Amino acid sequence: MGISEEFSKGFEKVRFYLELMGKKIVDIDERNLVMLIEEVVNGDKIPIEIQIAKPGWVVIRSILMSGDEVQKLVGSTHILYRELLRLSFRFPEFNFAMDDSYNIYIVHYIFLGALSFDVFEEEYHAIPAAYQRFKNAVYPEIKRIMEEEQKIEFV
Amino acid sequence: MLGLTTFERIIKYLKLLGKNFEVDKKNNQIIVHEKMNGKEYRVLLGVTKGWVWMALKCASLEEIPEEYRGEIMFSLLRINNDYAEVSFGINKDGNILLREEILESALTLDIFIEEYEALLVGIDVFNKLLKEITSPVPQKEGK
Repeated sequence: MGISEEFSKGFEKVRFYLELMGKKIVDIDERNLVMLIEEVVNGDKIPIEIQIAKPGWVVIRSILMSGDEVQKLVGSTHILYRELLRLSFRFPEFNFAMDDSYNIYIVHYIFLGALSFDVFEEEYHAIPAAYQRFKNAVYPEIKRIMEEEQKIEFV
Repeated sequence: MLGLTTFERIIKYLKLLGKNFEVDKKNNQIIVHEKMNGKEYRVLLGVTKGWVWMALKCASLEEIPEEYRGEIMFSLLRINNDYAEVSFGINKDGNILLREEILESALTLDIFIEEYEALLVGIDVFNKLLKEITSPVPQKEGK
């Protein structure tokens, strides 16, 4: 099986799993093997992007903070980075990542060879749960630490 | 695999892979001794709440000069984004660690090798990053 065939199969598998889970795909890019799902948790719309990526991974991610927001934290971004890395270690459901525009994501990877419904369902559900926890508990706590360490005023 | 617990399966896989390891029964952990580029590393493995986890210490934050820490942490988050198989975190003692998890029900030898190898890729990536950030850029002469 060639790489593209394996990727297409993985993509179709994910689409099928999402159907089984009753999820509505709001946008799909079949060429780049990306699909977008929107979850609503406690009134918050949570965009979840799923992509089949090289060299053979299912990437599930959701944006937590925009780069603009991060760059406003001048002088205390290192505290934010440290706390995100601490959480990444402490909780398997939190794996934080940052792109080159400073956007912060929560991201989960599934090795294509390990893709099964049970694994996908577990990793998928971890994203909105972690998003909620980040917004409601983790980020306020990080802000508190930043305020304490830097004496920064947050509006 | 009939009759074997997940913990026993990990031991079986490590034996199959010819790894040098010891079992810490008291802490329900396995310690694998790895040697890379003349340096020794310890990979810890265990099973907690339905997940097989493995971790490898890269460095202590304290060992890194303060002026480089922010950039290192930023780069680790960037690597978490760019390398699917690599995941960095910091533990409560301030150590930078690589961590991988496998859902217990998804554990097979192939998946185990994939995730375990990712730790070794990760330490290599980390060492290069550390060198790149902390090594002074050579100055051009004459100016």
